[in-house]
Amino acid sequence: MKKITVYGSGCAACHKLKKLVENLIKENNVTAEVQYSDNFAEMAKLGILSVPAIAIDGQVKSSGSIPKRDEILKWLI
Amino acid sequence: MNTTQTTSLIKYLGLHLCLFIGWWILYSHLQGLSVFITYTLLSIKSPSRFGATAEFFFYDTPKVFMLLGLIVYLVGLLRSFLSVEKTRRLLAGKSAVMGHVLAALLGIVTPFCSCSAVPLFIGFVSAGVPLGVTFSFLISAPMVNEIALILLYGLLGWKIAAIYLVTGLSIAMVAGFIIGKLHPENYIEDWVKKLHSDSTQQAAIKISWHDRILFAYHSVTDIFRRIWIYVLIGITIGAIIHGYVPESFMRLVMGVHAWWAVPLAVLLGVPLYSNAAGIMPIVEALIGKGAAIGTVLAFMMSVIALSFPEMVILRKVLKPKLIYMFLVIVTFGIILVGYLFNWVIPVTS
Repeated sequence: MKKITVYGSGCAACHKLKKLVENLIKENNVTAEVQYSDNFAEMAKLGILSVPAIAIDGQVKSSGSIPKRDEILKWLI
Repeated sequence: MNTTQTTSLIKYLGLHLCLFIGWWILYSHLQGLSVFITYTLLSIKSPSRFGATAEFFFYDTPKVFMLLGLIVYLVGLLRSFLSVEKTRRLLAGKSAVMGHVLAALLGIVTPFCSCSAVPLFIGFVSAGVPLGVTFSFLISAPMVNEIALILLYGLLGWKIAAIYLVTGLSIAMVAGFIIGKLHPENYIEDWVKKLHSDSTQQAAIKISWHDRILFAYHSVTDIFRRIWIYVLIGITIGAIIHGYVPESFMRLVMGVHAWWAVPLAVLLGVPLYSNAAGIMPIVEALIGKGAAIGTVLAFMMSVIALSFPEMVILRKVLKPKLIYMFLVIVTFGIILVGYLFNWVIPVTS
């Protein structure tokens, strides 16, 4: 099972990204666990400089914007 | 670059040229258009206060949105070449003076939103960017705003736009420099000091021109969706000031002789938080009514540069003393700029 973490600082775009990921998982029947983190120490360790960011199994996939749906899907499947 | 890439680049250039010519033709006819809509189409009595208000509204609305579209698109294209990661690489290991200058300049063009202030702060500091230089960036990023710059140019001319650019950059450089000298490392939360950032994780992705154009286009639609309402509110307030506020009153309250106007305008501006595009029509109307340029610029800078939410976010990594230092130094800088310009440009035409 994939472990997806959406990193944010509480901004609107951060929550939007989390919602988008959750919806994509449901729509495509992907087994994955989604969590939201505002742990800045962890972000620093991963090298995240801007939010919202998304990491899958500890690998940062994007940061600083909400990625396109197709792109997220590629990472999920 | 292979032949297909070259032909697609030429195609894009041609398309952009056509679009720009169309934009320019429409832009240069906005004045006539607003007069036509106000007095012919809506048959509002001329001259009247309401007519002046309506004309301002119908002139400024398309003008602000057209300028906004153009600049956000161009900056979007530029930003597809930049990233916070690249900026950090450029700033790490620069000599002190060069670092402040570069940080202030990069603050204008690096894609940055105040919600990312904390991860950016930690990431910069743990990668060896000096604290003072990091502050120069954090001050310049909201204060010297590309949208404010192009709207000042479009609405009030290049001189005022240049004044804004130069003073904004100077405040960011000098304030960052002073903060750097005050041993800010003592006022950072302890957990931050222990962190080491990984600056190698994200690999660079190759982006095509098609993607860059899409990125720029999306930044335009995204910004329009987020700020159109602020812009309309700003234009409406500006239009009402333009139509109804008497010049004598404005000269008295915000004119060059009201020495207390500058600090008051700045203090009023700090809790107010608006988008740069929303504040600009108000700035235009105030200056048109005889408000002193320094006072208005100081008001504008404090509205867009000092935001309360950003301070709250930064509190997570900075001890209160450093936040106060930051606030006091930047506020003082803005007030100084206000007085300087009221003194240099005493009468607005």
